[in-house]
Amino acid sequence: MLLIFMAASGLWLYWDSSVPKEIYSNGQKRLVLAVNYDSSQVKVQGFSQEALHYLRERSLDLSSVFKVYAIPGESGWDHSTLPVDGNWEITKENILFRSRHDWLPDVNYVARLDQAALNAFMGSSGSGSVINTSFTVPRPADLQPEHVTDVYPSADVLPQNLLKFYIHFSGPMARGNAYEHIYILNEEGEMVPDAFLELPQELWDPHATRLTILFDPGRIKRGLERHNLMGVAFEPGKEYTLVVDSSMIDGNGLPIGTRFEKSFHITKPDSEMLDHEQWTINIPDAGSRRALVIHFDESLDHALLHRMIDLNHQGNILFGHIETNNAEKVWRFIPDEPWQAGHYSLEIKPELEDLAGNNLISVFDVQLSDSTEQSKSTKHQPGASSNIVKNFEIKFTGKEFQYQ
Amino acid sequence: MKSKLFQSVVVILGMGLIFLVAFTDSHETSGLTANFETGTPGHMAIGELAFGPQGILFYGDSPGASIFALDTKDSKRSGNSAMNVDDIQGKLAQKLGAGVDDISIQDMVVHPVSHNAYMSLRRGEGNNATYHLMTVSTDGSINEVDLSNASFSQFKLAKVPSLGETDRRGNSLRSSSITDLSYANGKVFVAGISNEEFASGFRQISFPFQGKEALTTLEIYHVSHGQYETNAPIRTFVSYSIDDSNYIVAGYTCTPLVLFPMDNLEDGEHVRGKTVAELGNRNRPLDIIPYTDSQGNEALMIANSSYSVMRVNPKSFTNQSHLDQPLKNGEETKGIKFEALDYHNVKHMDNLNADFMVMLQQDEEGNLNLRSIPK
Repeated sequence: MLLIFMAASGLWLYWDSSVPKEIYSNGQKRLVLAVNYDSSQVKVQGFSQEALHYLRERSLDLSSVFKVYAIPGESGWDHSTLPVDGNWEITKENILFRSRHDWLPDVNYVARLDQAALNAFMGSSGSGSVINTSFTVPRPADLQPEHVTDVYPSADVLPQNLLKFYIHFSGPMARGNAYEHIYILNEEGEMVPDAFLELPQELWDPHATRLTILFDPGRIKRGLERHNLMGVAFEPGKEYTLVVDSSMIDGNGLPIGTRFEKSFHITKPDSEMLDHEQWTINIPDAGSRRALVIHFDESLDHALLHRMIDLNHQGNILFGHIETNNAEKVWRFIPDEPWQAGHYSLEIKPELEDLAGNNLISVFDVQLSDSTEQSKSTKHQPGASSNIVKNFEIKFTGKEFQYQ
Repeated sequence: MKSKLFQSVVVILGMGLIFLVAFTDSHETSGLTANFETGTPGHMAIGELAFGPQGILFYGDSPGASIFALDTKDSKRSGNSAMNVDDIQGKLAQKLGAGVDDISIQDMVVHPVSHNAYMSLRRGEGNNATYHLMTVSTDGSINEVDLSNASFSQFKLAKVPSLGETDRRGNSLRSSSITDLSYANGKVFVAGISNEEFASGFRQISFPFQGKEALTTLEIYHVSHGQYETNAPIRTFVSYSIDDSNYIVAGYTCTPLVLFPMDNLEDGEHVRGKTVAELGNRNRPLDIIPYTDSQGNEALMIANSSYSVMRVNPKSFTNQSHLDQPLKNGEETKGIKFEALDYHNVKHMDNLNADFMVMLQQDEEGNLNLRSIPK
């Protein structure tokens, strides 16, 4: 069997663009470990055809002789380190390890081929040694860190019982480190403790580009003298700053690098339901694609303004583009197709909220049932209340008019 | 000749036994898995976990707004030995070819038959994040559950609205985070919270999934907040029977413990629970499990973010009157008595087998270890 090994030629093969990290050289046989970053594979090259045929025929358990490890930070490899899951194959040219999962950047990997075990299997008297190669998959060099693009509510005067912030980022962010890097500072520059309702699930959108930060409802209640041992998070009349610090980690593992701050002034709590009678609607001309505009009497929830208002024409929901402006006091709908003359209706879901979580059917978190323990009632169920409907007509007037 | 006859009898008896076992097994699971499909589940994430009957594992997919039921086919019984693994997060990371900081354990439950611990975890970040289900055996071996050819069923929780806010790629931004789930009496119970409208509904989904769910809103008296609350999200809960009545026992942030009779949880109802305890402020309950000690005493074990594991006696719930008054000055807890056990920094726990409870516990160096506690 030694002859078969001896027949292995001294190959110096390169695989794709990757460079073999370490070469084993022992007299006439020379095996090469080559790493492919893109396909998360390592292969051993340098075997003769005969050697590979021999190994294939005898079903060598490759997992016992050829392993790849992800080495923890500073501790290095030891015998307790578990090998990376994957599968092995003896091809016509080499021995191949495919990691079950893609390599991750910045992880220190070590591939180890136990030549002594291989020699023993081959019946060789040579003791051999362990062939090692270590490698780290680099991050793409041109990666730019993500950054905060927008925060809603965009107003700089906010109610004491503010319920949430939406923080938008330029691209996908890492999950699981938000509450370490996002906080509220008071006028003295001190952190407001336990301001947020910290959920281990972190309220990201499905693509991790928008984070919802909820304030702890236990700290934002109205008018209750002793509602919380910690007191309220915000005091009316004072200034606060929302901070997203520069070490928050983005989806590529990079610190965002740019500190974001939004300062705001706190005013009295808002404990009123939304009053749609106070809204005004600007109706565009038929034939145009000008925006239909609703002016609210207060700032409303940015995300819900994109979901809770539909436009209906002849039984069909209209498609178009929604914008908000003036601190989310204005809703604009630009239709994909020009307006046709006729009757329309705005359908507003009653769950549309203001900045304090009050909606069209109730104020935030109010006690609903009247009786004592373990009662049940059917009041104020989500989805149980019907939509607010505002009918209007679009005409070929050439002039916008105001609808009350 | 005699020997051959004996062998034949043994073989026939053996085949009969195999047939009987196979028939019994398939008969037991076929009803529950009849509408399961085979393939790769299309989840976006694997989060909260709960075992149902016959080794069916439920997992929550918050970004995909779905609950998945997975036939684990993990029916090999194991004995009642302990499970202790140092630095389980490091070992899981090594198996997955990742750095220890690249993975995040989401939940842990124990298979009621095989006694393997099932852990859901995330590997990597951002758009490259992937979600995995790993098993840990009492012998310490760690394996990934192969989901490429799984037997599963999916339940979609929410409809996507017609004019949803979208990002630049046209993807909806709304998601529903599942804070906990549990199975009892043919139903999967799901507590969750939306990342937009502040509504924390409690859902019951009949299993096997048939597209039907019941949505209930819950109201509690929050002792340390000194008021009734309708939208506080349940952090963790367990279904439990007391004197032949079925309840949901729910833990909330800062830390009321609330009892909801299961019979009241009907679709469209708004239900007020009975607050039986205030367990301490500035705390989040992380896990509640039913527990029976070696003396046969029933208990509920509660793991906490700020306090050690607490043991409460569910029999005391019945006599406890509904708490509807705030704490007095100097009071920190109220209601039923609890015993603070000397197990700190427990992130998740479950019953391992008849003799042990297993906990995922963080040590002073920050390592997560699996530790078994005798019952």
